[in-house]
Amino acid sequence: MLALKALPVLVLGGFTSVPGAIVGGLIIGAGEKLSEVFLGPAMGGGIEIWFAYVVALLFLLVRPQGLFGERIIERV
Amino acid sequence: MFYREAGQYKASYQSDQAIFPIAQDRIAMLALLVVAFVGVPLLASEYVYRAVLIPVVILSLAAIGLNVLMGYCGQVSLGSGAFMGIGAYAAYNLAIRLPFLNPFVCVLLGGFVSAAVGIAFGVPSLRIKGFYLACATLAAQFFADWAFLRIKWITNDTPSGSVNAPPLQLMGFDLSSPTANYLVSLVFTLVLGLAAKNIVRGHVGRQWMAIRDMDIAAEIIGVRPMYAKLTAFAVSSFLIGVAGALWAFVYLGSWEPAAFDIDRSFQLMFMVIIGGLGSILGSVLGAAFIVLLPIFLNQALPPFGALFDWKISTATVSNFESMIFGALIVFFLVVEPNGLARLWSVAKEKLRLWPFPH
Repeated sequence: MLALKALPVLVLGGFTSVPGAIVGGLIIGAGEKLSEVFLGPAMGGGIEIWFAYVVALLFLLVRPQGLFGERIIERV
Repeated sequence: MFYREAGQYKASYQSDQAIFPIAQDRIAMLALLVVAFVGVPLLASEYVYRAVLIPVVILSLAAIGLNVLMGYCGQVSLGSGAFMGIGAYAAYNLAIRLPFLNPFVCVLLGGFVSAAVGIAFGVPSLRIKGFYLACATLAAQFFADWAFLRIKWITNDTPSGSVNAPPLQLMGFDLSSPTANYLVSLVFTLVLGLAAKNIVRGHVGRQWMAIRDMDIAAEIIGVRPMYAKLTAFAVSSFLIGVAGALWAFVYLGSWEPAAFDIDRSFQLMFMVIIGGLGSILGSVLGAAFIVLLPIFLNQALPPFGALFDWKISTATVSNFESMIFGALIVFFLVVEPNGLARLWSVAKEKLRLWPFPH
């Protein structure tokens, strides 16, 4: 389960960037605990199990290459 | 020698496009159907039904559903357990809130609800693929897990979160015996499996395969990516949802949210990869392999240890079971990366020429 949490971290920080992994890890780690404390009571609790993935999903729609990743270029 | 197709002419388009163009295949398939519908109910015990036959049949359907998405359309999905759960809980809610509906109608409607949710979670696939899409489907999986556990309306406010399926009956017949359970799941799997086979042979299936092989090239030759990807998500989630509703109603009877967690998703993915991506037969073979191998190891290890005067405890057996299981999967994928379906077609190719290989 811990290894799966690494996936949203990479998506957020960008797949090709080491600083991105560190920053993404901090954002995801702090974000899911803070969301549990502040948003959790309003939504019935336990939201930290999906918070990281939903943040990564929303982030993908806005900026698919992540915070520090190289721009994705499609080659045919 | 026994598998000769010489002299079997295809005189019409219809016979050219048959699913089983060779007469021997048709006879073998007919024999298999007779065994499955007549032979098995005469011979099988309750243990064989509950431990082997019903899980294999229902999980085959789920694996066919995942294969439509992963094998034919090339979209990685780690959320198949969630879609099984959505089918199961949708069927449950329909059954308790609309009590006049037959449980099997609820099972089918559960599949449609799952298809609708699948389309919603398939929308990100229009922009992303590969690892990114795996992440998006993981979001579906964990969100569904959370919803089953925390949204009390879904489980009808039961305090423990465990829910019971309605009694299974059809036109006054009681279908709660293991034999009836098995036959019901077999009918569902056969009909929907045949439908899936025909869909992937048709124009929709060819669009999926074009998207899988190279999406940009497919788009340029006129395949609409949105239509192709979303139909793949819809068909796949429908099949997985029906399988999930059957799993809950027919196999489990009463279940908790943990029955559809991420382990189920991984199990289905193993089935599809081991059976062979892009093959309906492979899904069935993969489901049988994944369900039967642990049972076989569990039964075979204690006698094997006794050969060397070594009494294996139950805990050791279960440890060995996961070790051998994992090692076998790795070994198998190294030897045959294209899965069991490929082995089967190689065997058929060899049998065509045997015993004169020239």
